[in-house]
Formats: sequence, C-alpha cells, structure tokens
Amino acid sequence: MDIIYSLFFLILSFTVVTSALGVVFLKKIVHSMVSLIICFLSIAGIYILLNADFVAISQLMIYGVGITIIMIFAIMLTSRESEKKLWIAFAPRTLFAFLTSIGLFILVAYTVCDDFEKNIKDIFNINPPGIETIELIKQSGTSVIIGKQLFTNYLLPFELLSVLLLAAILGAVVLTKKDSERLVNPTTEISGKEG
Amino acid sequence: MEVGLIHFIILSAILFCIGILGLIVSRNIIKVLMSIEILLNAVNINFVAFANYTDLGELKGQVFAIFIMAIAAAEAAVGLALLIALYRNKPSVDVEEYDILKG
Repeated sequence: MDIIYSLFFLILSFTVVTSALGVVFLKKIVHSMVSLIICFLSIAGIYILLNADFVAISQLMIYGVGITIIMIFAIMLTSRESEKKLWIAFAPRTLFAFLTSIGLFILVAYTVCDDFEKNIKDIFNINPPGIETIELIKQSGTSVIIGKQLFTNYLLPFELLSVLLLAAILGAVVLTKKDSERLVNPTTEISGKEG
Repeated sequence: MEVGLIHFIILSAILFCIGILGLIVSRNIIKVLMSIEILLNAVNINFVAFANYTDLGELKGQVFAIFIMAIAAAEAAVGLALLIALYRNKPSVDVEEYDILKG
C-alpha cells in the first residue's frame, strides 16, 4: 500500500515538474499551453493523494477547463504568425532569474530538511484527529467539513468572494469593449503616431 | 521511501521556482500569465499538504485553496481582458515592445 502511494507520488510529481518546465521552455505558445493542461491535471492527482477530493474536482473544473479555455481564446485572438515563436529573453534579467529561483529553492530545501517534522509539531500544536473525523472522511469525503467551514467560520470571505467575482466579470466586459467616444484611451494616440 | 509532508513541500518549492523563472524569463505575455497560474498552483499544493498532515479535523487549508482558486479565475479573466485591450492599441505580444513607461 505504501509502495503504491510512493510510486503514484513519484510519477505525478515527475509529470508536474516536467510539464511546468515545458511551459517555460517550449518554443511554440500552443505547445506550452498543452503542457500547462498536463500540469493542471497531474496537480489534481496530487490533491487526490492528499485526501482532498473536493479540491481535486474544483481543480479539474476551474483550472483544467475554465482557465484553459480563456487562455486558448486569448492565444487565438492575439498571436500573429511571426510572434508564435517568441522564446525566452536573452537579457541580464535571465541570469538574475536563474540565480533567484535556484537560490530560493536551496533556501527552502535547507529549511525543510533540518529537523522539520519536530519543529512543525512544536509550532502548530497538533492534536491528532478523532475517530469520528476519520470515519466521516472515509464515508463522505471532505466536502461535508469544507461546507461547514464555508458557511460558519468563513461566511464573510465567501460573500466577499462573490462580490469580487461579479466585479471581475464586469471589469472583463468593460475592458474588452470597443472604445466609444466618451471613453478616451490615453495610449491610443501614441500607438497611432508610431504605426 | 515513505512520502511525508516534506516531499510535498519540496515539490511545491520546485514548482514555485519554475513559476518565478518563467515569470521573469519569458518574452510572450501569455506565457507570463501561465507562469502566474503555476505560482498559484504551487501555493495551493502547500496549503492542501499542510491541511492533510496537520489539520484533518477542520481542513482550513483546503478552504483557503478553494478561495485561491476563485481569485485565480478572476485574475485570469481580468488579465486576459487587459491583454486583449492592450493588443487592440498595439498589436504585439512581445514583452520587450511595451516600453512606453521607460521615458
């Protein structure tokens, strides 16, 4: 049982890391989009390994379908033939980015590998979950607990989130609308002069 | 090998570093937005892993992961709308060409 869990973890994490590298380093934008979809799907698998079924299904629905479709439409609407192969920039910031990310990873790995489990137990004051909780999760998944949390402790952020989503929808519609005469865009004149 | 909390944290750290790398390095605007999504996913993996290993009774980490997903959806919609509005003024998706603020 434990070997199967470890095997699934290794396969899924290898897929996640490889496809995330593919997003950054593939040449065509459509190829990196496909790589991003593979990354999202395998991250949903990692959530299932972590006993988070509701979050995994939400990942499939929001990331694997919603954001993917929005991004594919953006690629369709914007890319020209000459710019489909824009690759990474060869500027001083490239070296800076490599150094930053490698340094951050070394920092995190050094912090984690140094007596981490014991420190976590000191910091978080962990109580082991009761038998009822484990039975509940085994029978009906995590959605019961998440639903209770959302409608009791986190009711105000939940409602604020709905207002935020409404504002985001309206903002997206207003931003992509064609400029009428009353809405003067300050950058229009500059780009008109240049080309 | 027994998989524990440390392995998930290392995985999410690797994913976060790849996201930062893509955010700075890439020249296509859509690829920058994809890198932001990778960053948010790395944070989500961290939240869910901590919820599984330290807080199975209340699962606060999973609730936060769901909030982050909703905010990521809003961010993607607004970001791509901004991208299309920009593209209407100056038809290019190259990051290096948007240097009006350079003065």
